[in-house]
This record gives sequence, C-alpha cells and structure tokens, in this order.
Amino acid sequence: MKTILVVDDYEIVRLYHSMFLTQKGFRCVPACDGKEALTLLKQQPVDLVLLDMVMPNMSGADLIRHLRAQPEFAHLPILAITSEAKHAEEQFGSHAHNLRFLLKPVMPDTLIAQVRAMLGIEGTPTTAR
Amino acid sequence: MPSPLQPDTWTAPLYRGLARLRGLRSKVTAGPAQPTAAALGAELRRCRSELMRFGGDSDREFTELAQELGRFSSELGEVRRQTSQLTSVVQDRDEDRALSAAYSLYKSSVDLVHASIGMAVSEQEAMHAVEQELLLACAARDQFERSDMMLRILTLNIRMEAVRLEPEHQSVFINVAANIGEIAQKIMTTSVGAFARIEAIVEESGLERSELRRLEETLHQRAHTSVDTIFRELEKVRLALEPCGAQNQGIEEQLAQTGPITLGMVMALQHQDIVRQKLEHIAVGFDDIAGYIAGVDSGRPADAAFVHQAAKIQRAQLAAARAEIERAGHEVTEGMAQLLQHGEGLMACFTSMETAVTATFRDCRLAELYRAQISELASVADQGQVTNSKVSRSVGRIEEVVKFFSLEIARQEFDVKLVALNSQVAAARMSSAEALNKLSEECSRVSGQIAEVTGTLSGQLDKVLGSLQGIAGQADMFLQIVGQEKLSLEKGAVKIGGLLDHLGVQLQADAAQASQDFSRLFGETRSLLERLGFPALIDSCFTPAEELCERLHEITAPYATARLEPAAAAKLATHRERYTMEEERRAHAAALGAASAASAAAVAPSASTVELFGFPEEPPAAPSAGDSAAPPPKPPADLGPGIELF
Repeated sequence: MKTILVVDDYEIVRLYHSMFLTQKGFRCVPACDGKEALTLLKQQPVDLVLLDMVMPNMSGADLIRHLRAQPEFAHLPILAITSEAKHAEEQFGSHAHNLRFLLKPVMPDTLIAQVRAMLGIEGTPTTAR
Repeated sequence: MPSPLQPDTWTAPLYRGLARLRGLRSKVTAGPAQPTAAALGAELRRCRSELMRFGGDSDREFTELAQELGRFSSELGEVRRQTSQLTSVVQDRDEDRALSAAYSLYKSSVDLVHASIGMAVSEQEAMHAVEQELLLACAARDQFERSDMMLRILTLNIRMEAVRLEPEHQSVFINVAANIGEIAQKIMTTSVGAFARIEAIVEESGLERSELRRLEETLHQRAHTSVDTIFRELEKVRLALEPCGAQNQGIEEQLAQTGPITLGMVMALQHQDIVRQKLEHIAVGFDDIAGYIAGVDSGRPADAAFVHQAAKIQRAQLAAARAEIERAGHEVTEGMAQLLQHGEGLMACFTSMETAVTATFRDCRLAELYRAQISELASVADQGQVTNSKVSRSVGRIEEVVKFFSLEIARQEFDVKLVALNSQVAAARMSSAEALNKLSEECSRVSGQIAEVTGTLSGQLDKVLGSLQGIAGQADMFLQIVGQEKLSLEKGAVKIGGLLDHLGVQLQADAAQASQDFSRLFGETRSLLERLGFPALIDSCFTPAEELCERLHEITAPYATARLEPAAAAKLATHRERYTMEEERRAHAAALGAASAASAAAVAPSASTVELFGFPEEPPAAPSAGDSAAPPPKPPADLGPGIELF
C-alpha cells in the first residue's frame, strides 16, 4: 500500500484528502505544516507528498526547496495543490521533476488521476457518472 | 585744529610697526583734514546704535526663526508619522493588515470549497459503489425465484399425495400444502417488491448522483471563476500598491534627512545670542573709546594710545562677531535652501504617491467584489453541502429499504422453518408416516435453501448498511464542519470587506493629508527664507563700525606706543579678557551642554581663521602707585588659540 503524506494547514482539507485517498486504497499520514511534514518524512517512508503551498511556519515552497536540497528526497513525488498555482509554477517551473501543481478547487477524479500518475499506478480512477 | 601728536620714542621696537604705517601716516598727516573728536564721537554713537539695533533686530528675527523652525520640526514630525503610517498600510504592516487578512480568508474560502466539492463528489463515488453492491445483492432474486418454484412444486406434490390418501388424512396434507403455498406467495411478493424497490432506489440514486455530479462540475467552474476574480483583484491592488510603498519609503528617508538639517539650523541660531552679547560688549568698548576720543583732539598721547588699542580690539571683536553671525546666517540660509531642495523632491514624491494611491482606488471595487466573490464561494461550499445532504437523504432511503428487506427475509425464513416443523409434527401423528416424513424432509430442504439465500443476502445487505452508515457519518461530519466554516467565512467576508473599504478610503485620505501638510510646510519654509532680513543688515551695520575702528586705529597710530594711564590699561585688559573667543565658547558650552558645545565648536571660527592685526603691539601701561595692585596684562597666550592681539 502506497503512503501519502497529506500536508495542509486547513483541517477540513487535510481531513478530506486523507478520507478520500484512504477510500481509494492509500495509506495517509496527515501533517499540518511544512515543519511537521519534515519530521514525519524523517520518521517513515513516504511515496508521495500531497502539499498545500500557503501554510504558516514553513510554506509549501520552502518545504519543496528543503526537500529538493536533500539527496534522499530529491526525487520524492510532490503534488502541490494551491490557490495560486501560477505563482508556484513561476517559482519552480511547471515541468519540474516529480513536481506537479494543481489549482484549487480540484475535482477528486483529477486529484486521484494525478496521484496515480505520479506514483506510476496503472488504470484510470473510478469515477461515478 | 591741533597738529597730530608725535609718537613717543621710548620703545624702539614699536617703530618697526610704525614704519609699516608710514605710508598711512603720511596720508594722515598730508591728507585731507582729520575729523574732529566730536564728529568721530557722533559716528561712534551712530555705529553703536546701529550695532545695537542689529542685535535687537537679529535677536527678534532669530527668535522668530527658532520658533518657526520648532513648529516646522514638529509638523514635519507629524508628516513623517503620517507617511510612516501610510507606508505601513501600503505595505500591509499596519494593525489591520487588510490585504493579508483578505488573502487569508480567500485561501480559507478556496480550501472550504475544495474540501466541500471534493467530499461531495467523493461521497457520490462511495454511493456509486454502494449502488453496485445493491445491484449485486439483487441478483439473489433469481435464487428466491428458484426457491419459490421449488415451494410451488412441493405444494403440488403434497396435493397430489393427498389425493392418494384416505379422506381423514387428506385435510392434514391439504393444510400443509396451503401453508407452504401461502409462504411461497408471501416470499415472492415481499422479495419481488423489495428487489423492485431497491432497484428503483438505486436507479433514482444514480440519476440524482449524475445530476449532483453535473452540479458539482458547475460549482467547480463557478468556484474557479470566483477564485480567479478575487485573486486577480487582490493582486491588482497589491501590485499597484507596491510602487506606492517603495515611493513612500523614499519619502520617509528623505524626510529623515530633514531632521539633521533643521537641528543644524537651530544650533546655528544659538550663535546669534553670543553675537548679541558680543555686540553689547562692543557697545561698551565704543563708549570707552568715546570717553577718550576728546583726548585725541586735545593731544593727549595716553588717550590716543588707548583709542588706538581699543579701536583695534573692537575691530577684532567686530570681525569675530561678524564672522560668527555670517556663519550662523549662512548655516541657516544654507539649511533653508537644503530644506527647499529636499522639499522640491518631496513635493514631487508626495504628488506622485497621492496620484498613484488615488489611481489605485479610484475605480477599485475590491471590497465590493471581494464580498460578492467570497459570498459566491460560500454559496458554492453551501451547494456542496446541499449535495452532501442529498447524498445523506439518499443513503437514508436506501438504508431504510435495506433494513426492511433484511427484517422481512428473516421473518420469511422463520415462517418457512415453522411450516417445516408443523409438517413434522403433523406427520408424527399420522399412520402413513412414510409419506409425511418425506414431505417433512422436502420442507426442511427448501427451508434450508431459503435460509442460505437469505443468509447470503443478509450478509450483503449488512455490508451495504455498513457502507451506507460510513458515508452518512462522513457526510454528517462534513455537513457540520462546512456549515460552521461557511458561517465564519461569511462573517469574515463582511469584516474584511469593511477593512478593504477602509483601506482605500484611508490610504487616499492619508496620502492627500500628508501631501497637503507637506505642501503647506514647504510653502511656509520658502516664505520664511524670503523673509530673512538679517543677511542684508549685517553689511549695513558692521561695515561702518569696522571702518570707523580702522580709521581710529590709523589716526592714532603715531601714539601706539604711548604710555597708557593705569585706568585705561585696566579697561583695555578687561576688554581683551572679555572678548576672547575662547571664553565665549566656554560660556556657551557650559550653557548648552556637551552636545551643544561640540556643535558650537564646529560652527565657531577656527583658531587659524581669527586674525586681528598682523603685528605684535603691546603698549606699556604707565607706572602708577597702584601698579602693584593692578592686574598685569595677560600674555598673548591667554587670549585664546589663534587670537593674537599684540
């Protein structure tokens, strides 16, 4: 089972992402900011980081820079969800390695499709129609 | 008119000095008629009066200037405070931090919409899974139909068996057959009805879900539009205010530079007080000269020598006072000019900043738009909540049917078991036990089959119920959280809308006020500089007095070495002592304190710049009875650095 680190300062979003991804068969580890995320990353292996960009203590951008500066996290897939995706893309480039940006609000099927694509999981997400 | 007095010859070295004045002396002796003592006295009084008038006028002017500068400094401080406050607001560092608060609430609203829509869609997906499971459970209908068929065959068999029995046993068979038939009928009716209802609900739920899905997509689009709009507007204002902030900071820096200039001017103004005191002393000196001028006329060498030396001292003091007042005046006018120069630049900055702020907020509907768009996002979140509640209702309906069906099949299973038991009881009472035992076995087999089918179905339905309860639990929790968040979002939007409204109004008002206040101050500074009269007065008051001293000195030059009377020598000594620059400086430093002393030293003429007369000249005082008691003349070293009177 793949593990996703869900980083968001807004409790509802954290809860939603965790519930939704758990429902989709992932193991979720929640963190409320960049600092907590760093601590958790050192404690356990994580396959993907689902990241909010605007957070107190340590922002998403700072966490990305921090992780990319460390060899063990240099290639860790990061899916950043932000309300200011353009700004984030301008900062890091829209095609940065293993780093994608989605603009909030994101539909769940888009979210799961991106997660699966970044984790290299086959198959399209099941979407109720 | 008496002839000019001949110099005494007792001091040979003085002739060397006199020789330097030879040309001048020959002019004095051969030139036009010398002014009378009365004329010189009148001129002395006139000069004295002019100098005193200058002292008074410059005192009034400097006092007024000091007051104006004090007011200017305080008002400039107010402008600086306004500008600093403006910078804080523009750079979002003030107490309200309207833009940050707006961004923060904007982010929360986007997050809420994101979570609300996401959860609604995710619950619909879970519902879809439940529907699939229910449809799977509905496959049990075939098994129910097969069981029903078997029950009916069993009923027929029992009836056929009954025909072959004796009439007294037929009724038992017929009763069992009727019971079995009735149960079969009930099972069919219930299961067909329940499955049909489940299928209908699943279909209905599917249709509703599709509609909700379309609604969510619309909401998603609406949310993106709102998010874009709010973000664009906030960014527009933020970007527009960025240069205002930079410009304001520039203004603050320039304003900060005016502080030392003003301080320098105020410090310079204090020299006027020293000059005024000097002028009072000069007036006393002039009075003393006037007292001895008659003696020059009547050929008294001692008086002429006094006039000669005193004129030199007063000339030196006039030069020092003039240099000091000119330097102070120069510092004041230079400071004013610098202030005006800064003012020109600042005026342009203030105007530009005011224009920029006005342009930013003139057509800005940020607050209005913000309130509307946050409200739109809240409504989107609310719609997500509505769809959530629809899912909840749908879950509730399905749950209800499933529960009913579970209960019903459990009851039917019980009924079938009861009939089988009844058959066995009836069989036990009959003589033809073999037939009835067979019947009972058939009943039990069918009952077992039905129990198995209903057990499987119950398991499936329990699983569905579990899923439904999970979905309902999540939906309820989200409904509650989203409801609370939506309320705080709406409250926040009202508050921040107010802050944004205030931001525009406040910034425009503050910028206009700062600009207006500075403009007034700038105008006042300019007018103050234009009104300054003392620079023109310096020349008209000091020059005649200086020339008079020089003339007196020259006229009495032949008597430079004449012996002074003890009283005259004492007066001269007092004048020398009183007028030393060093003493003035010390007195001033004591009055102003160490800091002021440093400034005073900086503005006071340096030692090397003070030159009185370029030759040593110290006439001896006439010996008298009181000589031993009279203070000896101070050696030149005591006169202060750079001041060489004799």
